[in-house]
Amino acid sequence: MSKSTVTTWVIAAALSLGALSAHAELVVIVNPKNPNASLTTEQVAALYLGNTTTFPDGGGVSLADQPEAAAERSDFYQKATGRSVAQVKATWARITFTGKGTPPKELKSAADVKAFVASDPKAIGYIDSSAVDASVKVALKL
Amino acid sequence: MRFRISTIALAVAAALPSLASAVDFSYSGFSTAAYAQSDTDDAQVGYTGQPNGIDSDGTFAIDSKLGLQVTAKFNEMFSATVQGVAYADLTGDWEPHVDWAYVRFQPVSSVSLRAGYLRTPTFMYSDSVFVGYANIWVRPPMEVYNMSPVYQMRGVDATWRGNVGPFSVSVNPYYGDSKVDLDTGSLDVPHWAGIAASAEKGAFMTRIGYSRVELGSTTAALEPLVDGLRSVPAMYCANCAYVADHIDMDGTVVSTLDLGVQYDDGTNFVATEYAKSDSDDNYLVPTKTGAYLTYGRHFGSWMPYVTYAISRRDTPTASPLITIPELAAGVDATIASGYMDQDAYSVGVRYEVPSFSVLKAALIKLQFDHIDAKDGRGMLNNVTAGFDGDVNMVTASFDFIF
Repeated sequence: MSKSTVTTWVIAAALSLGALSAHAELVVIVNPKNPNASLTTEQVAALYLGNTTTFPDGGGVSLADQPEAAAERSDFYQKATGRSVAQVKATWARITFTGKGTPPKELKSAADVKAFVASDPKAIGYIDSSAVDASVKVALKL
Repeated sequence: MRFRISTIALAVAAALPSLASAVDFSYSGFSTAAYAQSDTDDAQVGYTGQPNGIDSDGTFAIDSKLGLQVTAKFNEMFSATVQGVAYADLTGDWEPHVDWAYVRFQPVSSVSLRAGYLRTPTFMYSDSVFVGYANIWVRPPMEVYNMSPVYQMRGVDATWRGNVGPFSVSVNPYYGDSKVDLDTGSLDVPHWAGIAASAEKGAFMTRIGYSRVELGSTTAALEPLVDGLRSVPAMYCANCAYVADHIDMDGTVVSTLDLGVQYDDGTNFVATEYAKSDSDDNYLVPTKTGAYLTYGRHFGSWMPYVTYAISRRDTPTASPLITIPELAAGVDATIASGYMDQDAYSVGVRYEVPSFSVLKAALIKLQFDHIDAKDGRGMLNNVTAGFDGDVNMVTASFDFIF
């Protein structure tokens, strides 16, 4: 095997790995008008576990969830909060039945989450990074 | 009060449909079906004042619940919520109650003001303790939660939430009144004030709760004894007036301080609370201390957990000398019917059932408790003379939300 063939293989492998990891990367998105440049994992977890009702700058929040069957949903909660979807449901049951808040709005698809975030300056959601476009702003890569 | 709550709930429910076009309604509910059985007939496990409890006959009544909630959101600032819950209250009857019925005003995201019927956050999980799906145990540790087992208040509360440095902070003062229905009558609570504050960061949450409950009446069964003690001139019974004051619940102020810490990193779960309830040494609502420590660990859908809990009575169990034998017997019997020390050891497991049909999520729990009731009585109900102080109990529950 010539040296150039090896180099080509290495480059091809690196490219395909990069493509794979880009596919599997989840991003937290906010509206482009949202003044918060970026969010930390802890800040996102606090919002999605109902511990806080505002962005770090004090602005109101409208949370969006992917459908329960979506792989992104369990992946997001595992990476952002370290909790399973069932554990998060228990947390929101406590909040809902004590009147302290309403759980994230469950939308029908990733496209709906993106459209929801694009249309509401207070919105926050999570989608696969490959679906990101100029209608939304990436606040955190998970 | 139950009639008045029902009237308000009906009025709210009747008014809602006419506004329906502009209003966003949401419905949700929770339920626990729990069966518990112990190994003795000589004592029953239940909340203090309940005429019945868990014994060797087994029962569904003590821990089972069914709750339904309707929230009407009028706009970004105003909403109204009614939550009806069926459970066994201190009268012992399993029946529906309107636990929450309030209007909520949220002028900004960080501030919420509510008025109506509310549940007070006396202890760390008091306001959500009926939502079995949200709790670790089949029932909260009685050694703490039985110190002040009533949470229904009519009044107002405010909640401020915000970020202080790296902490998510919540401050929740409340004020109102209540009337507690008992098997033997009812107790007025003319003033009920408190505050709960918590700080969270990552997996850690710490919380402090303080409440001050002023009682405004005594149960009818005690009045003859209290009146009898007070009718004796001080020259014949130097201690009668003092003892009467400590049996009479009218005017007694019970202040409760609760410190709690929860750690939940998604795999390991720890919850601990320490509570001190000071009644100025009333004999029936004694000054007492309670604490527990729970540890649980998630293994996929399974979560085994253990709890150790203790309760200590701080008010003396002997009264100053009463020289009139008939009154002394009544005083001794009254004190002996009160709350004594107790330890409890619990081990249990939770299993997350895959959600199906209309159930958003469901759990099965199995818990074993060993209760060591001190002075042959502990905090148990209907204790007989031959009771040895040991209770072993198993509970199985099915908890779900919909």
